Amino acid sequence: MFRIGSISTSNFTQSTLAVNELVQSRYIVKKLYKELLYLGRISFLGVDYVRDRAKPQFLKNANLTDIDEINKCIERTKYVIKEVEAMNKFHKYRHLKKSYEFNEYLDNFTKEKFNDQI
Amino acid sequence: MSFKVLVPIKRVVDYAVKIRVKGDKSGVETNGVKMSMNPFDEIAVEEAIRLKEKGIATEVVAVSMGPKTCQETIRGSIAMGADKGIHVDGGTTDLQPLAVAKLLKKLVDKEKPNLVILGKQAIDDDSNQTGQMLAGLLNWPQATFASKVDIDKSSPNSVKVTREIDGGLETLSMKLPAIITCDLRLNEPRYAKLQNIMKSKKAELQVLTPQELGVDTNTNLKTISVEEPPKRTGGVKVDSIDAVITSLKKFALI
Repeated sequence: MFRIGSISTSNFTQSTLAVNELVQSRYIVKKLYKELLYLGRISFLGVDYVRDRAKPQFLKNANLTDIDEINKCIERTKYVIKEVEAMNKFHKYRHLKKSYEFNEYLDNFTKEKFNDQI
Repeated sequence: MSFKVLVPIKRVVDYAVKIRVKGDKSGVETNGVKMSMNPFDEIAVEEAIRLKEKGIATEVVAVSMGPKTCQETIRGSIAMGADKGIHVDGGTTDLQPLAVAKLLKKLVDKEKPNLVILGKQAIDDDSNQTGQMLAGLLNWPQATFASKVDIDKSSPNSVKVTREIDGGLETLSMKLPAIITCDLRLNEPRYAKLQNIMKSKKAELQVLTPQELGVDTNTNLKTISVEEPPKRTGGVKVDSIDAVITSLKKFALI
């Protein structure tokens, strides 16, 4: 296996550089997948929901060798992670607002009712 | 100059979980249910970390009380950015807000923080008492339901807090040390990085017991029974206007 640290600088040609990049992107992809699953675990979606959707897509792109295309996929995954995070935050905020804050609609409704009685 | 912030946190049933009542009506089922940090406490932790990032606070201490599983929650806050964790092992006894406030008072005497930031209430028992009781026991100023916390970096001995009240916003200025309880719109809690979560698993926590702190956690309250809300009954389809009117009359709505 290629290890980033084990390649000596003397034979640092174009091809080893490319391989190097591929090896590095492999770690990045693995890290992103783990991050996505972790987010699933703590979010309301649940880890199964996230895994069922993410795994096939990761496997579909597993045999990519073009570094540009890989980077494109990495960028997309980063975007999806941000989306999941934002959705989770929004879901939590909305849930708390619904359960702990006075509902504006109900507020107006009671006001109207009160005014009618006067 | 050291500026310490104490953040008490609570481990509760996750907000997204559907709550089920135990078979014997003694409480809420917590076995095999997803638990997480109380969302309002998350906001409190975030605010403390932001104060640290602004260079005002120097240390953030997270405290949790309850069974050993609470350590997980403390580690969660350490992963977010707290420096130190204290766990008060209350065993399986149910800690009521007054007992928690008394324990916190002892911890405050020991740790001497400049600021205590709490969530306004926990989403499991919705007591909304701990912060207020702690302020009463310590005789410190308190600002509840904070939606903005402002500390001047050049003179960090007072704090300006904006509160959400019925008619609008109220701004208080308090001398430190003080108590702040957070409302929902104070900030947006961050997500801990996976790397920090791994690191936090190795963090050392200080473990204390109520006996060591010299606090009697016996409660004067007894839960008689916990009931689920009544089930919604389904609607009925009517086929004519007359049927609508008769059923409206039946329930005395017109």
